[in-house]
Amino acid sequence: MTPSRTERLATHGVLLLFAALAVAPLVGIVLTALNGTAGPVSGFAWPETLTFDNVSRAWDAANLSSALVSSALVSAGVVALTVTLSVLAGYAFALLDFRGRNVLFGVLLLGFVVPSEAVVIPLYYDVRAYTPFLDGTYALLILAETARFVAFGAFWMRAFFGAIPRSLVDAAMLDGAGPWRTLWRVALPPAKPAIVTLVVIIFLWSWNEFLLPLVLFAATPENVTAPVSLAVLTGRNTTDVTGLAAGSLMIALPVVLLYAFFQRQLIRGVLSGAVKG
Amino acid sequence: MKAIRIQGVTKRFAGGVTAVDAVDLEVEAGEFMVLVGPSGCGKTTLLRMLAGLETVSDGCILLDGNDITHVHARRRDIAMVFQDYALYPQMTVEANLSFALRMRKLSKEDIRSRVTDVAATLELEPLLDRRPHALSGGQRQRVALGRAIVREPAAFLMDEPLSNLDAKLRGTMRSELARLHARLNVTTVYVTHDQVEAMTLGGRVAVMSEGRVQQCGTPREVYERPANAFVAAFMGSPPMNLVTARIDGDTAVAGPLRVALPRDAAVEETVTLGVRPNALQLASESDPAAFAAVVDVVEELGDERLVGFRVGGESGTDATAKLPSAGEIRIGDRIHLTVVGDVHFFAADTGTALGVAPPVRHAATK
Repeated sequence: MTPSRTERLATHGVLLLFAALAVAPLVGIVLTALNGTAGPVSGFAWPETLTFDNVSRAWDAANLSSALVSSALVSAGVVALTVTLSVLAGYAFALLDFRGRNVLFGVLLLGFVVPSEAVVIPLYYDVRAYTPFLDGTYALLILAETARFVAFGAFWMRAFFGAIPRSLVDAAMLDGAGPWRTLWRVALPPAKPAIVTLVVIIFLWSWNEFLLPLVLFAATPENVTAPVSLAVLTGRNTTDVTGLAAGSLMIALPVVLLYAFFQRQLIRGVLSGAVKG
Repeated sequence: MKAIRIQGVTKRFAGGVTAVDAVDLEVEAGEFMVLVGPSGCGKTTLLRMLAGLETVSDGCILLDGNDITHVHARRRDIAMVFQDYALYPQMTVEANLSFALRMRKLSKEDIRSRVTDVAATLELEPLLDRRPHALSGGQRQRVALGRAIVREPAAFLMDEPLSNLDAKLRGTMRSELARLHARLNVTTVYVTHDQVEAMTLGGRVAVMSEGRVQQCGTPREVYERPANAFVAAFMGSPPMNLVTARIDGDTAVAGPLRVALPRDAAVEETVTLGVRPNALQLASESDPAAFAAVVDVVEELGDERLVGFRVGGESGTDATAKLPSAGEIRIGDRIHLTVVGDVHFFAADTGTALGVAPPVRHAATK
């Protein structure tokens, strides 16, 4: 059935409204970041003068050259480890029969339920007590974030692998493929959209993570990631609003670029997850 | 080609459901055995146990005399064609055909030669570079068959491979399968719920119900001498007419029918009588063996027609006659029929076959 003109207009109207709601804060941040007015500014004030000074000031003050490298290292490590473990766990939970499968999956899902605020302080003390060699290292943050995100990753990949026709896996087995080859040759190729989506989601979460790097890098401030480094622009009594906005824009840029690059696959992955999961 | 022997095989699922119950079956080397039965009768579970895709709760499976009950599926040397074809969607037809050979690390020359042979046999050469989504249902079916054939396995297992095809293509593929089996002569176990497929393809047919093999024999044996009322009703299209009859001396009486009991039949107060629809024929009112029936359904098939009526009045049993399409028969017409084929006797309680009586000579009433 073809929608009527009124229905089409109404649909576009609603979509435009929601798009405006999503874009408005970003416009505010861009305007603030480019605002050359001295003194306090509000997000939606049209700048009297446009300047890129805020960008360079934030870059230097927050030491973003180093912080962005830290963020890139940590996020790359977290994405690689989380996606690998999620694919393996998702495949096992979806397609392999083993004793205690459902109980183990339930335990894994607890990772969804427990907030990181509840574990970050015990984690900090446990690391100092039992694995002091990891204290303040990139490896520690990568492991901690991976542990936090892998529950979602396994859940996500299990939903995808669970939607693969069972007969495909049976056919591969009868054709002589073991579990590894079945995963690699049969289950993984059609999972590409789901994996790309997982990569983008985990990268986004890891890149934006604030609490874990703030606490775990307390002893090594030179390792802090970009979101934490912006904290220097917020003082006890004053806040460099324009600098903060400029810094936020620079930090958000890699995620936006990643999203733009994988947009098509991302939508396909989200849709396939929604339908098949 | 190797023989398959199934000895007392049982499958119990968690929760206590017994899908397959102590099945004994022997499939000779090179034989085409069809497992047929309604949904949920255990035929696919039995096939999956043969393939090694389901564990066996009790009993054992022998392939060429070797116990393979606990051998992993990928080491059984058995190929399977799935109902949904199970073609690898990201691979071309050629890669699908060669996958099992690559897994077995055959040389490139061997793989190329076998794939070329199978592609020629099944007329798949122009499709080798295509992916499954670019193939029609019939082409996918042929690729699935090719994937099984190219392995040159000890036995083929086929799980309702024609059920996703339209009626015309199903008929064509049925003939192709029969020709292919005649040429390759590989031991085949074929699962279907379609009794026409079972009758046309099977060297022997095993009719299953409630996890058990009810009867195993050639299609003609199963059709002409069903072991029980279930087999009688399941095999044949339309199914055999079954009516309850009371015993009156040495005859069984069901509505207008009066049939002499078969010799040595151990009957009690009632029996179930079975008459094939094609064993009924139009007769004149004056025929002493004729009985009257009021038509309540007419289905035209072209050269024949199925005529439905009720035996034993309003509260009686629905029955069908398969009659030539000559003349005119309408709903509500009063017609006269005679039984010109065998009348089967089954025990009223267990359904077990008791014997067969010759055609009816005299109807009880007109």
